[in-house]
Amino acid sequence: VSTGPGEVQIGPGVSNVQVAGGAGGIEAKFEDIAAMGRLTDQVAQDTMHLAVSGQRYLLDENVVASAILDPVGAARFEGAMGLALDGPSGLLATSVGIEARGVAFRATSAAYQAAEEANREALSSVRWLAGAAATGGMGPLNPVLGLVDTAASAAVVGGPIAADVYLQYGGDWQKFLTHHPGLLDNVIGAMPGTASALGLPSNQASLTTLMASAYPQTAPEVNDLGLDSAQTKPPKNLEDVLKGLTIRNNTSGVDNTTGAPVGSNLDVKKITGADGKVSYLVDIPGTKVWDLPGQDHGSVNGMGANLNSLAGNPTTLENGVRDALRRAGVDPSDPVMLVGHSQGGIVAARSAQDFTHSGEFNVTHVITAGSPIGNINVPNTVQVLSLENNGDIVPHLDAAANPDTANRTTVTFDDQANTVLGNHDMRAYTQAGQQLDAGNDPSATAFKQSARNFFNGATVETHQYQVTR
Amino acid sequence: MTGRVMGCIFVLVIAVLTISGCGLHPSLKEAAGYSKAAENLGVSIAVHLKAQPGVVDARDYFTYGLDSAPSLRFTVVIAAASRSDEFMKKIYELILDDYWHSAAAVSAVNVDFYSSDNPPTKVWDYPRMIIEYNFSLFDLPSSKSADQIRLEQQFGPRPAVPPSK
Repeated sequence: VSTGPGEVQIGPGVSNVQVAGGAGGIEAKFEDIAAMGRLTDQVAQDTMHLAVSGQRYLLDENVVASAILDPVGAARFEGAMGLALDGPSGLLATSVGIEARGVAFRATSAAYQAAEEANREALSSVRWLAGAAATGGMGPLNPVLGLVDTAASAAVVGGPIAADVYLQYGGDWQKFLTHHPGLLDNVIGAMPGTASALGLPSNQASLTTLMASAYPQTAPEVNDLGLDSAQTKPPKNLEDVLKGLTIRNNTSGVDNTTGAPVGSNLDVKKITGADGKVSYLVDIPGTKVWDLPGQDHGSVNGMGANLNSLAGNPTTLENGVRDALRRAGVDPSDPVMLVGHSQGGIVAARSAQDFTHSGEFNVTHVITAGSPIGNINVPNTVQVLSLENNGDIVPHLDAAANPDTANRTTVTFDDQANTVLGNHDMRAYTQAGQQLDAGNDPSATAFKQSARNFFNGATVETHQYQVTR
Repeated sequence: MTGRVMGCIFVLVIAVLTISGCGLHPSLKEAAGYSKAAENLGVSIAVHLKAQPGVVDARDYFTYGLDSAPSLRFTVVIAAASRSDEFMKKIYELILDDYWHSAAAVSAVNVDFYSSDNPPTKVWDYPRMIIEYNFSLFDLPSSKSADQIRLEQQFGPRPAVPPSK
């Protein structure tokens, strides 16, 4: 573990970079199989068309007329032609066989995808049931006893964990947690089951919605803070993009005394290529205040944005992003990349969904760093690159792995600092970006290729905004 | 009905513990980035600034959090008569000098300048602000900002913070 100058403890450096999903992922292979099925259908149709159109030669008047002059030859022709068209190995049978193959390809693809989805659902159900079981079956009969049983179950499970923390990790719970971040998936995934068994029927979505309802979202107030003189070089790669996000993360915050938001918490970069084509990149920092309901003091980067985004509701911050894009003069056809750290990544993914459905903006790319976005359905027209440090607990807060679809590339890596903060630090994510820039993984390369207009700018204007409410 | 109440209590207890945990328990505060040394650095720089001729007032704010790099923000009110780009840059350099030679866990410095004839009415009063300077530290080998490179050339390497564990 190394320590930067004047910094929080950070990891030893990024290693074990693994890429899932995207253009080189399993789901893309399923889609390739389905595409092959559709192509095969087309070949079958063409062959069928050839077989049917060939039938007319059997009844062609010239052939019939020739039968008078050469009945044996005509019969031989009719026989051969009939065999070629309608025989067991003829065109018609072949077309049927090809079509059957196409159906098989499509069925195989659908079966694989269904199995993947079933696996995700099964995992979610297992966690739910574990949560319900924690009440000892007493919930429906006596909720008070159920709550007591839940506490007892927590003690039974937590006891050995606590012992492990003290025996194996010297009492360092952060180290334990960052070495077992998957534990959070199970705990969070079990909560709806426990709540249901106690008499509050719920699943992950409804429970998130319930908690989000304590944080009503309002209209944003967006202040244009002018151009950022410190960010005048267009980004050339993922590292530059993540550095830009870090700068915006560092300029925004809240006053710890009053809780009031300070500084710019959003920027829109207008990137103009040498050919004059314009693209826009939006930097969205993470959570700035861990507030109880009604205690945000005007900040839009609080728990309300986290819970409402995860619950599928529009947030004040998302509406602020929309307002900022309008102010920056973004046209519905201009390509837009949304980049976010932690909460910013959740809002980026949710905004991509909403902006695409409304058609107001052409979101083509999303980059998230340490964000739990496994449950957010991002349209397949949007390419998503999600970076996740294996020791970072934050991407586990939704108890869901990212879908392994062709448009969603998830990069996991090791950079173990043994602290929650160190593993969530933007420097780990920036280093991961560096490695992806230098690497040649098919999915990551496909993402970078598709995003080249954001990396090939000749000039950039960084418009700074402050979104409050 | 009782069951629903129990379910709600369970959800609320978990939610409140989760949300408020980082701000309440000292060890959790440190886990979220709080640093006494960083807070003290802000205080000492503010005192240094107030001692400068032409500076009417100076305040410091230490910001930290799970998603926020530990950063210091300064609100500096300068005498209207001293208002000039050169003076504000000199003050900014003084802040960076103090910051650079400390080993406090701070990765960003933001300095907001105001004039005494139009002072701020709140912590961050953008309409009244003359200018804002921002400095971000990137200590990755190929990720240094121009400012960081300049300070390393000017002052040498920044002192390293010993690991907390």
